Amino acid sequence: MSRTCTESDIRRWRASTVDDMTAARRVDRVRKRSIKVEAKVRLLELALSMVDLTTLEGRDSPERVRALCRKAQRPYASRPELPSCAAVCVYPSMVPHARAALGEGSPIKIAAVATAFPSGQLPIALKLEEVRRAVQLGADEIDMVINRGAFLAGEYARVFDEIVATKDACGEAHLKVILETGELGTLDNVAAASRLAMAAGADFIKTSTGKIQPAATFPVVLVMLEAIREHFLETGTKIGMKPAGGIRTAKQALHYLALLAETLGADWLTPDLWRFGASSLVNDLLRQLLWRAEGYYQSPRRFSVD
Amino acid sequence: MDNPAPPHPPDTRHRLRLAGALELSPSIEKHPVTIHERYGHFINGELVPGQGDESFATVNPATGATLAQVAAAGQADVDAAVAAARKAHDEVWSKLSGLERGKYLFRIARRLQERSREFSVLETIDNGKPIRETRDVDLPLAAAHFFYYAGWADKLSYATRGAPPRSLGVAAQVIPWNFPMLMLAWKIAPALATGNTVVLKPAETTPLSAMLFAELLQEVELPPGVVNIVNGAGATGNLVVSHPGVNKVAFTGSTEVGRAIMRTIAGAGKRATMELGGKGANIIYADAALDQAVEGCVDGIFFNQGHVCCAGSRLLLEESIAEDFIARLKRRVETLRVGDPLDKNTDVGAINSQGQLRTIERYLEIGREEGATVWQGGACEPPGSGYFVRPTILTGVQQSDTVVREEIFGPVLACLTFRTPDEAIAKANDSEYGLACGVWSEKTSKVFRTAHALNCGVVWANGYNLFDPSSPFGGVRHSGFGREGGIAGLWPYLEA
Amino acid sequence: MRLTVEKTFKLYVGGQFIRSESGRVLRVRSREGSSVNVCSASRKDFRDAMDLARKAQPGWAARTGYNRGQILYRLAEMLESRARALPTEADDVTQAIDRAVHHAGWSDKITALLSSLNPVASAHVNYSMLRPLGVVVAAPDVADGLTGMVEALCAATVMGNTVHLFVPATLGELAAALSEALATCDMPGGVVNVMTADVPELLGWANHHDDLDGIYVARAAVSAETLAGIEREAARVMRRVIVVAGAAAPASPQVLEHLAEVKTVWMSS
Repeated sequence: MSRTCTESDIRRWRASTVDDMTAARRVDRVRKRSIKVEAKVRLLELALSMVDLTTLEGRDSPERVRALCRKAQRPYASRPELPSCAAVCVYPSMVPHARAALGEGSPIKIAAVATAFPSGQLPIALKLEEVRRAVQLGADEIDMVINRGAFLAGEYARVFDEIVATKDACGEAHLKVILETGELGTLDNVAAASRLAMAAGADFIKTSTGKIQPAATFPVVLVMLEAIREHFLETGTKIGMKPAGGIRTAKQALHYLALLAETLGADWLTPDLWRFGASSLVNDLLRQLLWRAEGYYQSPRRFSVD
Repeated sequence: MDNPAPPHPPDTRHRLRLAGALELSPSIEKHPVTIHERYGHFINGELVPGQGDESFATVNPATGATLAQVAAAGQADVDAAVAAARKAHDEVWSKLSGLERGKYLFRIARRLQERSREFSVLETIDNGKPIRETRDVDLPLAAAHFFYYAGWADKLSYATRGAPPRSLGVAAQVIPWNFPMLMLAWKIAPALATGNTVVLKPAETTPLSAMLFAELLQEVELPPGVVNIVNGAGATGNLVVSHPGVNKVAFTGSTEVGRAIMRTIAGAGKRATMELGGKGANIIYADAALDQAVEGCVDGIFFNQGHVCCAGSRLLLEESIAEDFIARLKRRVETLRVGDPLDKNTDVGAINSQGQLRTIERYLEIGREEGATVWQGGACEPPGSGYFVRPTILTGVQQSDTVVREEIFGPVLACLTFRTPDEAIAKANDSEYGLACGVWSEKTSKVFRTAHALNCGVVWANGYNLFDPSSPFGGVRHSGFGREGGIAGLWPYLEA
Repeated sequence: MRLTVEKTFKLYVGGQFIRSESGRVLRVRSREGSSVNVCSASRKDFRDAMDLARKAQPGWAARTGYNRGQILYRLAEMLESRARALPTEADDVTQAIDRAVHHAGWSDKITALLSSLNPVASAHVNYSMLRPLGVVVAAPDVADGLTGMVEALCAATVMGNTVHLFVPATLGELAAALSEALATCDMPGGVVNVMTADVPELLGWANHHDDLDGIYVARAAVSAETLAGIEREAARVMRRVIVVAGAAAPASPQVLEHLAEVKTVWMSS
C-alpha cells in the first residue's frame, strides 16, 4: 500500500495545537485518581502484562538478556499465576540470544530498537538494512526513531517517507515509531509528529528512547493519546501507544492506565495497544501486588535485580 | 445549530468505549470529623447556644440525612454580635499595629493548612461537593487567602496610593453555600487585615465549616469579638446587614438577594461589596487548542456541580467547529464520575439542596419546552439517594432562551454558535450579568482583542475557573461591584 | 432706555446647544439680579442625551490617555481665556481651572497607579486593569459652583466615561458658560452633556433608564431622603452610586477607582 503525505495533510497535522497549561491541568486531574483494592490489583496485573522489559546498554550481554527473558516470562517465581510481560526490548545484536531464551512462537514478543537507535544519525539505506537484519534475526517488533533533525527543520515529507520505508522493511514485524519527544521541544510538535507517524504506517507510537531527558511525561502521553484518538476517529484504525523512559513506579503506571482509559476507552486496555517501555517498573508492580496479597510491604531485596 | 450536519461528522463512524472504561473501587476519604448535634453561634469569642428557640436542620445532600440542628439567630443574637464586633474594633483591633494583626492572620492560615483535611471532609459532608475539590481547591485557596492578606496588614498605606488607611468599622458579611470556607476566607481575611471586625452569616445549608472555623479562631487566640458568626437563613442575614451598628456590608450570593440588601441599606451610608450571579460565556474560536478548550468547558461548568457564580454556562462555539467540539465535549463528559462526594474519584458531587435540585430540574423542563435538546452524560449512574444531576449539555438553544439568559447554578451548559469575533463578543456581552468569561484561541492578538472587549470583571484566556488570592475577582452590572482578592480587594474595606 | 436682548440658556447635548424638546424654559434670577431664561431638560431630553453619550463612550475610552489629557487641558485653557466673563466668584474660577489641569494630568497615569500585575501561584500572566463604568450622571453640589461641575466632569471623563452633568436652573448661566468652553475645547460631542433641570426630578428619570451605568452625586446636592431613594432605585439594576463629599479637594485615586471597574485577565502562558 503506497502512502504519501501532501502539503494539506501536513497543514492539518500542524493545526492541532496544544495549550500546555491546560494539558498539565488535565493530567494533574488524572493523577489524582485514587486507585485502590480490587481495581488496583486488576490494573497492576494488567500493567505487568504490558511491560516491554528493556535493556539498551552498551554493556548488555547475552547473559543479561537471558535474565531479562526469564523475568519477562515469569516475573515472580512464587506467584506463577501472575501474567508475563508483553515483550523484551533489546538491541538487534541481542535478538538471537533473546530468541534462544524465549523459543520460537513465544507469546512474549521480541522488540528490537533499530534505525541507528538512539540518534537515528545514519544514512537511510543503512537504517533500513539494520531493520531488515533485526527482523531476519527474529525480532517481532521494531522500535525505530524518527529523524528529529528533519522534523525540526520542517522536512516533514522526509520524516514521513523514512517511516514508510522502515515500515516496508519491517515486513510482518510491528513497527513502533519513537518520536523522542524530549527533543521535539513543544507539545504542538508532539501532536504533529504523532499524526505524521500514524499516517506513515506506525503500529505504535512511542515517546522516547530513554536516552534523552525528559523521556515519557504525562502531558506528552496525553497529547499522543489525543492524536491516536483523532487518527482512530478519522480512519477507524487503532494505533498503540508506548511511553518509555522514567516510568519506575506502580503509581505512575496506574495513572498512565487511567489516562489511557479516560482518553481512548476500554478497547485500548490491552498489551496489543499499550506498552510500558521500562525495566525497574516490574519490581515495583510486583511489590505492590505482593503487598495487596500478603499484607507486608516487601523489601526491595525480595525481587531480582535485572 | 440550524445548519445541516456535514456529510461525515467525525465520530459517528467510530466510537470509543469511554463510559465505565476506568473501573475503580470505592475510595472513601475517612479522615475523622466531629459533628455536634446542635450548633449555636460564635459571639465575642464564645460558642453560644443562641437566645431564641428557632432552629433549622442542615442535611447531607448526598444522602438527604440530617447532620445537625442549628440555631437561627434573632435580633438579640445579632445585637450581641454587632456589639461585640464594635467593642473589639474600637478597643482592640483597630488599635493593634498592622504587623500584629497580620500575625493573627498568619496564624489562622497556618492552622487552616494543618487542619485542612478535617475541614475538607466536613465541607464535603455538609455541602455535597467532591472531596477532591474541597481537598485540592477550597481549603488550599482559603488558607492561601489568609496568608495573602496577612502580609498586607502592615503595608496598607501602599495599597491606598497615598491616602491614610482607615478601617471602616464593623463589617456585616453574608456568604453563600457554594464555597462556604473559601467565601468565608474571601470575606474575613481582607476585613481583618484592614482593621475591621466582622459579623459573618454563613449560608443556612452549609453552616458547619464556619463553626469549625470558630473553634480554630479560639485555638489561635484571636481577640474576642474580632470575628463573630451568627447562623440563620435570610431573615438573620437581613438583621445583620440592616443593623445600624454596621459600617460595611459584603455579600456574595444571588443577584436577587443582593438587590434586596442594597435596597435595605439604601441611605444608611454603609459601604457595600456585592458579588452576585453570572452567566459566563466561554468563547471557543476555531483556532483554539480544542482538547484543552474541552477541558476548559469541564472546568467552567462541571466544577462544583456548576454551583459557581462565574461558571462558564454559555458555550459560544465558532460555527465551523461546533459539531466536532460538542462531540469532543461529550466524550470527555462520559468520563466524569458522578457520585458519593466523599469518594476521592468523584468528579461531580451532590447538588447542595433539594430546593436547588428542583430549580435545576425546572430549568431543564423550561429548556425542553423552549426547544432545547438535552443531553446528559457521565461515567456512571448517580446514586439512588441524595440530590444529583448528571452533567448536562443543551443544544439547539438561542440567545433569547430562558436557559441562555438566566443563571441556572447547576451542571448545565448551553451551547450556541457564532461566525466572527465581533459576533462572539456581541453574544458574550448580551447579558445583564458581567462576571466572568473565557476565550480560547491560539492566536494571541485575537485573544487580547476579545479579552479586552468582553464586558465583565474577569476573563480567562485559555483557561477557566482559576482563582488566586492575589488576583482581583468581581463583576460588573448585575454581577455586582467591588473586588475580592489582590490589592483591589483591600479598597472596599478602607475609607476612600 | 434700551430694552436688553434676553438670551435663553440652552442645554448642551451631543456637542450641540439645544432647547428642551418639552419647551420648558424656567425664568431664574441671574448673578447680577436680572432675570434670565434657562431651558429645563425633560425625561425625553435625557433619553436622547443617553443615546448620544452611549454612542460617544467607546470612542472616548479608546482615545489615548495622552489625547484625553490634552483635551482636558484645553478645557482649562478655554476657561482661563474667558475667566473674567464667567458668572461666578473669581476664586471659584481659578479653582475650577486648576482642577481641570490637575485631572488632565491623571489621564495617562491613573491606570498605571491602579492596575496590577498579580503574582498568582501559577505560570499564568495575570493582570488587573481599569475599564470605564460607561455612562455616568453627575450631580455636583450647587455650593461648589463651577469647581463642582468641573471636578465632576473631569473625574468621570478622565476615567473614560461619558457624563451627563445635571445642574439646577439657578446655575444655568454658569452651566452655559462652561458648555461654551466644552464646545470649543476639542471634546467630542456627547462625551459631556450639560443639562439644566430640576435635578432631583431628572435624577429620578435617569435612575429609571437602565442603560445608565453610574450616578456620581455630591452629598449636599440632594437631600438625604432623595439620596436614599436614589440608592434604593439604583439597586434594581446594581447601578453604581458614587457619593462624594464635595469638590473642595480633587478626587483621590480611590474615588476615581469608583468611576471605573477593575478587570482581571488571566493568560495561559
